[in-house]
Amino acid sequence: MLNHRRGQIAETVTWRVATMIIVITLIVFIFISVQMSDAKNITPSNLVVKAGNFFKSDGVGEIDRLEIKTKFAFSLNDKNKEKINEWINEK
Amino acid sequence: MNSKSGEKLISVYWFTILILVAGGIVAMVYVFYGVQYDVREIEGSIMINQISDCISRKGVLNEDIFEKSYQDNFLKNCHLNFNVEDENNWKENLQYYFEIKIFEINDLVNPKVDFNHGSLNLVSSCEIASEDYEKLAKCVEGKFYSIGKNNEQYLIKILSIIRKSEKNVKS
Repeated sequence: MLNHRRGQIAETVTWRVATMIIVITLIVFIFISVQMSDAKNITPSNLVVKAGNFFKSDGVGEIDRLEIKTKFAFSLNDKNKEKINEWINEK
Repeated sequence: MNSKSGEKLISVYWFTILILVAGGIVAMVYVFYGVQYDVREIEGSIMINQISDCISRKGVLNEDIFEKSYQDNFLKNCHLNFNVEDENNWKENLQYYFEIKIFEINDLVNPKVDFNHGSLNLVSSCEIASEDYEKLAKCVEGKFYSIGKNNEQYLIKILSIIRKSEKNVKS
């Protein structure tokens, strides 16, 4: 009788653990799906290129095409640099 | 508990798990495929990049831009076309717009060059651009600096607007 009860308890515990594992796995997968669906909004940051030494002193980071053009122009004439940068960064 | 009622209970349990797993899969598919790819912002940026290449190369302004005939034929000169699929009445209503303003460094209020191409109706979308109004056209603005042949300083502002909401926003 006692052995039979022990068997029943063990079986119930296994069910509960199995259910919890299934539910947790599902929640994790749904969370991943939400994250992946957020990545569907493609922004211009995908258009940046790796910066070389010419554009950034340490050569690290990314830069967009218009920034490259501005840097080229500054290399030819950098008068009013502060004013120009202020205008470019103005929203 | 006798063995028959125990078996019944197990089959109810497995049935519940089956529904749970199936529901989870449906939820995952709905969440992922329920959102459309919105490429309008990147499309606007590509248009700005293409236009900027026609205006300035290696930091030097293409001075043809000051000529009216060059501005009028800008689409052809810059290898741009506004052709779209013949869907959702797009052929009748242009889905693109861009505006170019070139300022001299001494006057940042009145542009020396100011022209546009495309559907002017889309401009109003930029004023109420917000995440709540995703169905409106997307506006992207780009600014950069360039110099003229005689070392004059110019500031260039390009505004590009893309509509195409039917294919980029879930209805």
